[in-house]
Amino acid sequence: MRLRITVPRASRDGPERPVDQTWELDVPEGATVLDCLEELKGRHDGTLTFRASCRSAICGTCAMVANGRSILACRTQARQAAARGGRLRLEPLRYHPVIRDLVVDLAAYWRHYAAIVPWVTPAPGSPEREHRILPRDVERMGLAETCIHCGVCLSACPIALSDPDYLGPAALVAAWRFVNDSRDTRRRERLRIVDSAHGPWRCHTVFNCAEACPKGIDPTQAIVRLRGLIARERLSGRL
Amino acid sequence: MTSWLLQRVSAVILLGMLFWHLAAAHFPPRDIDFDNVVTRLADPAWKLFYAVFLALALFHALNGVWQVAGDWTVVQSHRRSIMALLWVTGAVFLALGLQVIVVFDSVVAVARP
Amino acid sequence: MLRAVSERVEWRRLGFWVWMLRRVSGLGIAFYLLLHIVVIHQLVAGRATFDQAMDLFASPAFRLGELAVVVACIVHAVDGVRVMAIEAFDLARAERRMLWLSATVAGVAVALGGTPLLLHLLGLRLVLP
Repeated sequence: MRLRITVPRASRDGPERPVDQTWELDVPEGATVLDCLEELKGRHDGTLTFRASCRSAICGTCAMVANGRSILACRTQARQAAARGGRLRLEPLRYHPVIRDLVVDLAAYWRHYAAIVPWVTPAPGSPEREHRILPRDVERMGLAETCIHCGVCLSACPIALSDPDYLGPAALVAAWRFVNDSRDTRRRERLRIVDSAHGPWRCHTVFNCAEACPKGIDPTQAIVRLRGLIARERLSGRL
Repeated sequence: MTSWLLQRVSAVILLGMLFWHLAAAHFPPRDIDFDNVVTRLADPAWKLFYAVFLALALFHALNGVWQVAGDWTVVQSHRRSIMALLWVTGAVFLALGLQVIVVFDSVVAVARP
Repeated sequence: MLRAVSERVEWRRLGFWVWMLRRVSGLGIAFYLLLHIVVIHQLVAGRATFDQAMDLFASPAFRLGELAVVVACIVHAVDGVRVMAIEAFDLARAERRMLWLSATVAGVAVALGGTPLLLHLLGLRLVLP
């Protein structure tokens, strides 16, 4: 199929405004957006810059915006992403400074993630047996553990536009995941961190993130559950 | 959290009160004139109903505006100013509305020939 | 370098528009409420002023506005209930089904509530048995 791909060429060391560049190319029907980018870089313009690694939706590196929708390039069919006439506009993820072309500086994403204490702090001392996590905890987490930190959810979220300090779907999913981990001892501290003006109260159940997530995670569900949990604990005085 | 929670609490109560108000005031549809409003507002039970309805509606509306403002303002001092403005607006309009609801009988006495 | 992304927000998603409807209708109703309080306050000025105001509001433009407020209230309330249901009963996974249900309920409510107003606007009267 014939595609007409446009990418805003930009560099943080270069001119202020990005300049659109368009290519016409022929790709097989089942080509992914990443396949197209590889084709462009390989045969049309070697200076085109983008991130990619595993090609199988597990590393989370190739996230970007295609015709206005945040996607994972390796997991998105070019035919589906493209508009009528095979027009495909590829842009970097939203809300993050562009380093070059489709590569962004994800420092803000990781800052939000780090803020929620994203690791298990078990009770001190060595246990007699392994640290156990209960099956009911795993079930409650939903698919939170499968997050590949691609950043698509944050890019899709409309709240992140107006509130750059919003923790965002990924960080809140991670918070939900750790709060439900029975092995962790810093639960209350984490809930207190999350319970801020930029926490789950900023979510307006838009569901953009859930629709966009390439791993099928529903961050809105996690955020709604997190809100319920914090509300119950605060009202009963436990928080 | 409080804003989020109270928005839902007020929403549920307002929903019930809205249906009641619609049933009493707007169905079957008729022209609103001084008389049918007067009849209702002279009744102390309706006075109480509308006082509560007004307070809750104002709260829900302005709390909603606060949510929108919260999405767009990050600076603490800006947020405080907006919060203050919303409280003042709420107080002023509550006063205006309560004046009508509470004071009504004497107005009726004055207005009727 | 926000300009690298031509659309600053991801509006090409269904959830975005549902939320926008809820937000815009909410802000519209809030503004109307403040206006409404001022208008009803005219009651304090006595019968003549009130009747004068009511005559103004009988005009087609205002009746259309009235219809808009009713539709806005229905849309806002129905979507609000949907959000509350998702929150109270952990129904996030049923989002699409709930959207269909909301749209149906809102449609029915608008038909029931809006039709009399629309007829009234067009100068017709609904004669009930």
